[in-house]
Amino acid sequence: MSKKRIVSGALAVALGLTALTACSNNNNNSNASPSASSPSPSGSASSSPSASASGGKYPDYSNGFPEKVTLEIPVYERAFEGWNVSDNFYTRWVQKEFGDKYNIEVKYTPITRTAEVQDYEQLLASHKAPDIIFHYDMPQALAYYGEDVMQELDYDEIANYAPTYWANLKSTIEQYGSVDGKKVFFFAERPVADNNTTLIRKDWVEKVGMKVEDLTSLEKTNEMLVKWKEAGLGTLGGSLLQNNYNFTYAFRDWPVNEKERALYSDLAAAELTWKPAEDYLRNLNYQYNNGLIDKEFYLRNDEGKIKAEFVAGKTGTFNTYLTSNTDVFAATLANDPKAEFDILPPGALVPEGKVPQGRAYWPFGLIMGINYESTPEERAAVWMYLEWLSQPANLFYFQNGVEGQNYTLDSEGIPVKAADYAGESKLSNNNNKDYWALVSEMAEFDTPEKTRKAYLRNWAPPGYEDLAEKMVKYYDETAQYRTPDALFTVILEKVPEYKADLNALFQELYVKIALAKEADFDKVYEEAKKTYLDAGYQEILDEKQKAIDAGQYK
Amino acid sequence: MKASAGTLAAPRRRRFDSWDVLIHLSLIIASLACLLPFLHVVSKSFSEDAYVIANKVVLWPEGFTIEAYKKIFADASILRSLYVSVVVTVLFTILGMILTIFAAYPLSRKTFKGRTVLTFIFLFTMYFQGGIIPDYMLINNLGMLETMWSLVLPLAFSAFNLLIMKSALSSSIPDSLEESARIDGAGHFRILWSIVLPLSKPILATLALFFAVGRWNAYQDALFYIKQNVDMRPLQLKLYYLVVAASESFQLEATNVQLSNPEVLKASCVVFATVPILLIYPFIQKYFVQGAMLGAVKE
Amino acid sequence: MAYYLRRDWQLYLLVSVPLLFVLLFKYGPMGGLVLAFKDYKIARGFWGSEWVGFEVFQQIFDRPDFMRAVRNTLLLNSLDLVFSFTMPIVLALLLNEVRSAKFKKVNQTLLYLPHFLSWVIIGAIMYQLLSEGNGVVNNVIENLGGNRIPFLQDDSNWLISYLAIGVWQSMGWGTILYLASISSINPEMYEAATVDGAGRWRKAWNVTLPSIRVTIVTLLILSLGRIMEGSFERVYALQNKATTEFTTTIPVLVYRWGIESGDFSRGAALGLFQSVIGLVLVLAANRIAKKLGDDGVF
Repeated sequence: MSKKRIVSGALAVALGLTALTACSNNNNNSNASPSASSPSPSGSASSSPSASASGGKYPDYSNGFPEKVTLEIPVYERAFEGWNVSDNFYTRWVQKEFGDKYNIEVKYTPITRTAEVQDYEQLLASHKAPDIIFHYDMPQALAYYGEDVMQELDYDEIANYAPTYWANLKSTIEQYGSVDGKKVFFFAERPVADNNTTLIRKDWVEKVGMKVEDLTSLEKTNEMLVKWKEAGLGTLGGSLLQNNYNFTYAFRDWPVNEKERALYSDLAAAELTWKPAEDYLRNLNYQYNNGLIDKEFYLRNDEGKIKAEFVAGKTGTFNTYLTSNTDVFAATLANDPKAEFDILPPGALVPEGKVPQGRAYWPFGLIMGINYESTPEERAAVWMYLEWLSQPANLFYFQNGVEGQNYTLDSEGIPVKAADYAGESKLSNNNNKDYWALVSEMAEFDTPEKTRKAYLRNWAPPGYEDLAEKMVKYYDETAQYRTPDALFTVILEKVPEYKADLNALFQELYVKIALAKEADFDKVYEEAKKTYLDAGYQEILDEKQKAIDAGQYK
Repeated sequence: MKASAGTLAAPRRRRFDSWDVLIHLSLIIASLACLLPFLHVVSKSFSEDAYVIANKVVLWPEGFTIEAYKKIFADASILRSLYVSVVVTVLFTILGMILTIFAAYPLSRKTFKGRTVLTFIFLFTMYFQGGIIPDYMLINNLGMLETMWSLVLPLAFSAFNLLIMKSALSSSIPDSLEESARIDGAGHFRILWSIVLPLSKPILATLALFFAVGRWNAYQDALFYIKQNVDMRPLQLKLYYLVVAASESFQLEATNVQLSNPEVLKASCVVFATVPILLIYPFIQKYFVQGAMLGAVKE
Repeated sequence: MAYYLRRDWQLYLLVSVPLLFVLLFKYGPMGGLVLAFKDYKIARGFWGSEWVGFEVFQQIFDRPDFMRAVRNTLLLNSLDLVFSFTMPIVLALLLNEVRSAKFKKVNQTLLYLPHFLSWVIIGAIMYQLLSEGNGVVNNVIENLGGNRIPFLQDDSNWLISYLAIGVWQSMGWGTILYLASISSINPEMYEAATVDGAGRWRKAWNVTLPSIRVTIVTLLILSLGRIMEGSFERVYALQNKATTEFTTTIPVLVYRWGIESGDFSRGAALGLFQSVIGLVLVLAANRIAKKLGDDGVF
């Protein structure tokens, strides 16, 4: 049989079946479009006469929906042992306290944390996506928006159904929630708090005759590292820069040049060509060539590997999120019983003449949008859910569990968790965070002092409370130097287009620069700059510059 | 003792020559090279976490403990995953073998009209795939999400295995055999059942092994098809979550609780997930009996 | 046609079962390939998304990383064909020479072990063994007075290590198919060869090897079809950022552009590129094999 016939035969078969599948897709699509088109007219129509009292304009569902509404809420699936994210004590509690009251069926859709974009894409393509589409990253949230999968929002509607939630997040949503002039995003709160810190081996510092408090500048730290090397102790901890780029803060000028910052400072695209980056790399190159930093820092591309070096006593510093259940102290002591720990002072990696700048988080946690296929009733149900979740009593229950079982209140009204509680109302391994993260990234209490104390309890490993306090003290001291990145009000198309490739290229280039001989630094750096710009970074800069000149950023 | 195919059937008089030494030595070295890394993982699974984190464990456990294994056997969900994996693997292998045999036998007959077209249709699927989204949509449309069938059905047909079996059948079952059976009045079904299958035991055993191991080790499809139904997670998916997922660091989330799994638990899960399937090969071995064709054809 | 149907109706019945299966599960979703020619927006679905012809391919081919990836993929896969493909054959022949069944059995089981370790784990182990700074192997070398070798941290060494680790991982498992074929060799053939005065290696060359020739040819043709593919996990587990000459391959780009970025059109286009080249090579190799007198794959 001739090859032509084979090929055409096979193609005919393939096309035939493609048509079959396509027909089913088409049907689904045509079913979807009526509902997709309905929200927009109502959205734009009602936004104009919003001056009048909103109560009369929106259906009142305080006694429940006339017909049962299915609300699908996304939850991160982290595969915790023995935990079913869609059906557990708390999901049942939500159904009883919230769902049954308003004739809503609350369903939780699991989204795999490590493959969340793929999960969402599959669900969206099969029209099974939950009513809320969320992500932590603004670029990815913008990408979702670009796929046309989010509805436009009506702020008055939110205010109507979720007054408490709206009161908490109004300013954030109004400031950051619009893209291209359309109101698309709503957010969860992010209270100002951070437990990212750098541990240091106090015994090593003292062994070379210095004190941790003396480490007030990069130069002094480098001196100490030289001493460490001579004493045969170990090096500075190092790791591979990846994904979220905030490595140049210590080398930037103060006060901040707003336009430069908007142009260069970006979590998604590393600012290789900026002067602070050159200074950072020059220092890294110096440290590498003189054996002051982990010689194979570029191999440490996850927390486990970085930790391994510290625990084994090869490196003397370790950057981590300090939490009460961390195992780094115990593990290090098991390998070296004489180890002592301290917190690295904020100025330790900052060159003389500069201040300890840092990146301030934007005031939001999760970035959310409403699924374009959600009906107005489902949307209203979302707002009502957020409202219910924002009630302090409900939030507290979700975050802490049942009093007397999961926790007991101490004299100040702060919950003390019962250790290893394994009863029916056991919280998830991360304290149910993935449920209440829709309204807030961290638990808050009525007074800031109480909140602070509660955080310390979460952050302080037993026996190291003083370290946690020091971490918080340093955090407060550097608050004035923390600034948020600029947020552009227009979609930047070049960033998502080149981000993945530039990411890989940056890693390749900066490692090459760091590993180059000190005499070759300038040449290698210049070459790298050129390569990086040609690979797409120049286009990103041009696009951003245009937006900056037009004032389209905050 | 079973004689291997390289020796005489007559009484042995071979000298143990230097080649024998060399061959045995190379094989021993190769086997050791394959064993040692596995031994490393096993040692980690019996060691204390602090030493494993510090990368101090090489070939022997440091701080011997069976804590991790105790945890595994006490964890009902891991045992359930094991059960799921076993059931899925068995069903998958049976289905896969049936499909392969049904396709390979006809296609191996040189006089079968349409042979080339059909082979091409099957072969084409080896190189062209729709992608994860169309696949997901199909499984969704068939209502198989969250069920065992999404793990058993879609991949059950393997064009690779088909081609292997087809080659094996067309070269090892000569047409003369088929013709003489035909003359005796046997139809294709009879020939397949009574003649072809018994003679193909080695290749059948091999492909069954391929199906079983392939299904046992794979988790990417389960990652997308089994999300809500926690009870239906196969063992390798659980392992994936333990080993890979826990090592991610999510920078934009507020971290109040450390979520990484102890290294030791990861290592013991690797061992736990690998040992069952390793035990299968010794049972397959007996099907590799040489001289299966003896007496069937006298050329 | 009717004659054949009547004569072989049982065969047609048999083959119809897998055929339907394949049509449903493999050809059904193939419509997704059309995304390589569209600007896919999830909300508009497959058919609503805008048709852009070869624009996606144009974008892909323009990227500097693309040519590098093609070169690396061809290089790595061709070298793999030379080493990883031939090693199982050699091992199978060696194992065949072993007389003690027990030795053979133990050896075989041990040789399979690497196949069961996922690349993530293998990567971690290899770095623990081979890294220049703390690697166990380098520690031993240094203690013996030698210089530390950057097995994975130098470009050419990385290539060699990548291939060697690939051989190590797949050689044991690859012998299974060959051993199965060898086991069906008629022992009388060996007897006849001995009578002819053939020594051990001549027997291997003239009796054993020809019997597995069909398997070798089939596997070779199919492997050629995978010349543009390859394992993403293998490269990802073994790569590091100081040694990047050879570590960008087409599967890496599929992951980076298709999965990581969520750009499904680009992923589909790359996949189509791989598939077309693979199929063309398979057809070509098949024709060559047939010309050389083998059966070919179809």
